[in-house]
Amino acid sequence: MCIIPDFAAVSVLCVRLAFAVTLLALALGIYFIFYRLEKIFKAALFALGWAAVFQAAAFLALTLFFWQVPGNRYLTPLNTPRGMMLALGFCVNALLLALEMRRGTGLTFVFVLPWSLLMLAVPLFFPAPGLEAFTLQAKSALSAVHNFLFIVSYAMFINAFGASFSLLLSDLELRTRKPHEAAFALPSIGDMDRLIWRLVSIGFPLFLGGFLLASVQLYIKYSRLPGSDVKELGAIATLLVYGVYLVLRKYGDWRGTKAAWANVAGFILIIATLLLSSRAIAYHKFF
Amino acid sequence: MELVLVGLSHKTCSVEAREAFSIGPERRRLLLRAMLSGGLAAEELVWVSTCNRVDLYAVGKKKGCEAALIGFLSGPSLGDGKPEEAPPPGPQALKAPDKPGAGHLYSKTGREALDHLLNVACGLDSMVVGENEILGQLKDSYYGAKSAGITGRLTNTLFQRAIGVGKHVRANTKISQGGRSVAYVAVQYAGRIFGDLADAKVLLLGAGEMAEAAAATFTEKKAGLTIINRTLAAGQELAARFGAQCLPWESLEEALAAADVVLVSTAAPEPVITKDLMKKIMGLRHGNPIFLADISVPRNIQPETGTLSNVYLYNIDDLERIVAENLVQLSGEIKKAREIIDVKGAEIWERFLQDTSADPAGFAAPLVIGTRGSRLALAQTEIICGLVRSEGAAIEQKIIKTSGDIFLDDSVEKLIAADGKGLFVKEIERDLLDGGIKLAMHSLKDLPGELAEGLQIAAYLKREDPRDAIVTRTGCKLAELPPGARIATGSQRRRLQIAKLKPDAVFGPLRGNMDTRLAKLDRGDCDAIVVAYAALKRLGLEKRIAQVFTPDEVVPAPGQGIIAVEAATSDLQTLRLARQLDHPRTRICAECERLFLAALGGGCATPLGAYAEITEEGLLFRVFWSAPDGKKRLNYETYIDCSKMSESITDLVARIKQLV
Repeated sequence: MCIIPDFAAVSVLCVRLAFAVTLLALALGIYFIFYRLEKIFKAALFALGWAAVFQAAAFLALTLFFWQVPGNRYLTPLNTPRGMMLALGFCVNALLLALEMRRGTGLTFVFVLPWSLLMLAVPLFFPAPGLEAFTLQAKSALSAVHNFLFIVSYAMFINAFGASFSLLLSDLELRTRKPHEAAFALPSIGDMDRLIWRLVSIGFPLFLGGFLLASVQLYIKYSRLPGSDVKELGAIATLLVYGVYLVLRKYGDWRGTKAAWANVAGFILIIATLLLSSRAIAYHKFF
Repeated sequence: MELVLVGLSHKTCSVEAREAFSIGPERRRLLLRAMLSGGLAAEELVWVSTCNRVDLYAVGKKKGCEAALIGFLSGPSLGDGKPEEAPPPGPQALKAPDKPGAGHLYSKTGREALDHLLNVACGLDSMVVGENEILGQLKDSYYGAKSAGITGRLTNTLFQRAIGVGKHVRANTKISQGGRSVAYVAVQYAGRIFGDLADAKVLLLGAGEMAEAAAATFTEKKAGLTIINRTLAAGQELAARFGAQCLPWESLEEALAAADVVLVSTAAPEPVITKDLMKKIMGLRHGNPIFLADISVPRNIQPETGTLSNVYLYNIDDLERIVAENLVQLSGEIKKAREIIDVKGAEIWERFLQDTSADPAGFAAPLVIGTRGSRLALAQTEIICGLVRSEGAAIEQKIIKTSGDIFLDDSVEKLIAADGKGLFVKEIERDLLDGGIKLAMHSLKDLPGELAEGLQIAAYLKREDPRDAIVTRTGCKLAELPPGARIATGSQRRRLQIAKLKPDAVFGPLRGNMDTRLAKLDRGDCDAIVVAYAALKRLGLEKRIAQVFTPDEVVPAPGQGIIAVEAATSDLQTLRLARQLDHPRTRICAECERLFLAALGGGCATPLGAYAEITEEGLLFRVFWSAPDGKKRLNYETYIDCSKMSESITDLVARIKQLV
């Protein structure tokens, strides 16, 4: 008789481990900003790597949990709130890890990881789902793809927010004309400006793609265009903000602090959309 | 052995004088030549030549080495392409009148020299205290000397540790943070905005002293420099000195739109850059950030300009205040750095003293060195005994019979086939492992690639001339021998290479000790014999030599001419004593040849010559390889990077295998 592991418990355990290790990575990142020891930076990267591994494991365990229902086989839980949050948290951490391994700035740990922790807090503090068949919507391939595109683009935008926050802090410190030690750990304004541009220029088409797919899905199912609920309105507003940023960066003068503020606005819209969607009765309700 | 430093720096002389002393490619060659010929009386050497210093660090006998280094540095400058000749060493060398700054040399030895090295590595001796470039320059200098094959165990340890201390001090203090001059702070803050300044465009308005200082600092960061000055001639002169572009004042707007960093240092009574102008410029720049440093008095940039988005404006007061704050912080950090240097320096020095002193008093009884009983082996052992006695230790010899000595009549090939290489070595090693002897003398040629477990080569004595020599009955040279002359040699390697020089010669075997070989020649059993020059020299038989072959004519066998001293790995006291006999350059050559032998693999019957020689250009490695039947042959030579010896040898072997 084969023993089926309790995948839900495994998933919860992995989430707890991911949370703890992400917290450790954040603490090491903060320490690095003040003391700039290379060993600490490497330790933070190591912790972040393990956090990503645990998050991936948690998602995988959740998938296997749902696959115990035959109707759910070979589908991902991307369309479930828990699954979405796990995937989003993983993408944020994985992208941050890739960026930091390449750039070695250390700063974005501090500005991005708190959001990663928030995403981990959702599966951590909310009860695990019961074992049930996915809804029709959750089984939809179009939904899975549009969710995937949104998740990856959100990860880009969240990391762009981290870079924006760093840029704004640098700007603030430079304008005081009083050197602060920790500010020397911040990467250059030019580097952050270019990083924001690259992240948004990759994230925006993904986000647009996801939005268009979702719109098609909406039209097919409900014969209407997006704009009726908080999530849809939020997505439209987010598209507008990032779209305007991209255009004005290329053809106008939206660089440096202006670019950073635009990204902060976009990020606030994303958070607000995710949170408020759950308070309104609509097609999109995550929690 | 002592650590000796001779040098000069920005603290002791001007930049013009330092330029005369700097060690460029030609002078480097002369330095290496002097080192290799023994003119510097140094066993190991590293030179550090930067725009702010020239330091020569050597390990050698204190008096001779110090004077020789002073003599080299204060010799006449190179300027006409003629080779430089070092004047005779002595105090008078310090005052060589034809070299500016010759009186500004400093010399330090021992712990002082080490402290100087550590201070340099930590940036405490730099013009800008705590600067990071010097660490990279020190590393480059060390690896340059290592690649050339003139470092050794002691300098390797010292420099690696010094570089480690430099990194440690920078990581644990704030000595490299904060600018020390207005120009340096401007560069630092420009870096905060743009990152790597190599991609940044810098515009200097003005051509005065401050502009010059800024130009020098930005040029170090490889930033693209443009100068605009009301007086075009002055601007062009400054631009020419720093390889910058000079534009007329009328191009100011265009230049501002293109520049990322603008440093204004003019004597204009009113602002040359206003807020309105900068608004227009930012439009042209598509909002890209710009750093403005106004170091003029009165200010030449309207203060309101700094309120614009992405415009960062610092005036002279801001920059000077930052410099003052940095200097206050710096004195505390220097103190911390010195404390670290004191602690680390003491550790390093203690280790250095252990490595350079033998403590002969620690031996309760005379050392016993094992050797074969042949005249050559005894002569070679006596060389070692002489050196050990000069270190203050007593030593005795013990003769051990080896398989090679017992089966003298059998051919070398037969014995090797039966017993593998090491037939002159096994019994001696056994006695070494059993504790019957403390040291073992070997000709490096006789040592197998891998030693017995628990043993190591403690020292390589200074290599004797490794070339092969021919001894003829009539004293004539090889070419003068009659056609069909009988040449006896026990080595296929020699046979094949000499056959190329004298195709009509007839070759025969040669076995036994040197006396036996010479007797064979004197009896008329052959017309000539080919043997190692080193063997003849050590036996005082140089007069018998008719001709010595160059390494290009006959590539010597790997390890030829080198005496190896073997000891037990666990016997630390004996190892420490034996290390005093080690010759660093011979060690490099020996290790190179042995690495090659091990990498090539193949049978001991393969005729193979391999000769590593440290030259002015680096480690020259010559190879002769032949198939056992002599049908395929290869002569090859290349330079080996001593700092990456293993990889270089692996590549070389791969290339050789491809060629054959």
